[in-house]
Amino acid sequence: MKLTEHDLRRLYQESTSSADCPAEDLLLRAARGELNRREREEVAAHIAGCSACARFYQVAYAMRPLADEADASGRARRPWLPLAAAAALLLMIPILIWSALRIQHDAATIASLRERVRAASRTPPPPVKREEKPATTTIAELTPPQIDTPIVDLDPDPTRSTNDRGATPITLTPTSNVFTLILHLDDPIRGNVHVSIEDSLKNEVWKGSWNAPAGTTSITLTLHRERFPAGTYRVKVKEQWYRFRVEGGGQ
Amino acid sequence: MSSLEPESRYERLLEQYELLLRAVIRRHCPPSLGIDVHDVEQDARLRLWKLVEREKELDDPASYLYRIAVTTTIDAVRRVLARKEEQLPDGESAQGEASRELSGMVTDPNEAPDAVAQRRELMMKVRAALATLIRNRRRAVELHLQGLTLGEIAHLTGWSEGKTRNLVYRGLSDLRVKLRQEGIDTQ
Repeated sequence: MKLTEHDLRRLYQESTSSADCPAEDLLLRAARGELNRREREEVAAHIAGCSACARFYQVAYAMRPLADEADASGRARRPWLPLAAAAALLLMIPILIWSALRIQHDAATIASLRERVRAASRTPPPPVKREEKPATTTIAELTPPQIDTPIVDLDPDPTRSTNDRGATPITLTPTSNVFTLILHLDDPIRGNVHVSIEDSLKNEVWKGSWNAPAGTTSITLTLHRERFPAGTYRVKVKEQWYRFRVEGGGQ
Repeated sequence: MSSLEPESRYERLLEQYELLLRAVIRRHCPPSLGIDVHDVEQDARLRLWKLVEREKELDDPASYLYRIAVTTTIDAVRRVLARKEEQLPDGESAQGEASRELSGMVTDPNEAPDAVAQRRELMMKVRAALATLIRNRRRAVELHLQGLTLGEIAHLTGWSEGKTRNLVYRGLSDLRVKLRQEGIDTQ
C-alpha cells in the first residue's frame, strides 16, 4: 500500500483523541509561550495524541498577534505611564541615597558599640566585697515554742473539689507560725502511706511518705504558714482528699 | 471602564479591537474548510457583547478578546468539520488512488467491514512504527502528523527551529523505513 504524507497525517489524526484534555487556559498559555518546562512537556505530549487540542493550539498560536497587539495597545492607552515611572524613579533616587547613608551611619555606630563592648569585656569587673558573718542562730532557736497553734480536724472530701466553697477554714493566730491538721481516715491503714498537698491550681506544693503503724485511723500534719500562704489546698492520702482554706496566713 | 454603559463599553472595545480581530480571523481561518469569515466575526461580536453585558471588570481585555477570538474560531472550525463529515462521500477531493482509498476508509459511514479492518490494521502499524522511534523524534513526528508547523512545534516544545527541523526530518525518515518493513510505502 502507498500512502502520501497527507494520508499519513489524516490517518494519524483520525486515530488520536483524548477525553482527558487540559484546560483551555493551559493551551492558550502554551500558545503564548507562558508555560514552564514541565508544563510544556506535558502539553506537548497531550497535543501529540489529541487532534482536538492540536487544532485548538494551532488556532491559538495563529492568533497570538491579537493578544500581543492588544497588550501593546493597552500600554499605548497609558502614555503617562513612562512619565509616572520616571517620576517615581526620580523620587526614589534621593530616598535610596539617604538610605545608603543611613545604613553607613548605622554600621559605624554598631562598630563603635562593638568596640566598646570588646573593651569592656577585656577589663575584669572588680570583685564584689561581701561581709560574711558566721551563722550564730540555730534552728532550735528559730523555732521557739508557739502558743495558740490552730489544730483542725478534717474529714475526707467526697466532692474532690478545688474551690473555696466547702473547704474547712483555718484562721492563723499572730502568736503561731504553724498549724496542724488531723486527717481522719475512713478506714484504718498500715504501712507506707504517701501524702501530698496541692494548691487551688492543682500544683503539687509538697509531698512526703510515712510508715503508718497498724490500726492507724488518722494522720497528723503540721504545716508552716510561710509555706502555705492564704489560699485553698487539698491533701491527698490513699485516694482520699481533704480540703482546707488558710485565712490571713502567710507573710 | 465600569462607569460606562455596556453599549458604549462594547463600542469602545470593538473600535479598539475589531480591525485586529478581523485581520487575524481572516488570516488564520482555513478557507479550504469553507468557513464563512463574516459568520465567525459575528459570532465573536456576540460573545464580546455578552461578556460586556455581564458587567465584568475587564482588567485584562487583551486576554479576554484573545480567548474569544480563539474559541470562536475553533468552534467554527469544529462546526464546519462536522458538516463536512456528513457530506463527505460526494465532497472529498481525490488525491490519487491511495488517497481516495484511504479517504473512503476513514470517512465513509457505509464502508465495508473488511475496509474498516484494513484501516484499523494500518493505524496499528503506524502506531507501532512510531513507538520504535527515539523519544524526541517520535514527539516531533507526532506533532508534525497532527498538522503543526515547525514553528508551532518549536514554540510548543521550546526547541530551536533547527533542532525541530532535524527531529521531524529524521523522525519521518525513520518512520518511513519502519513502515516500508511493514509493506507500506510512503512518499
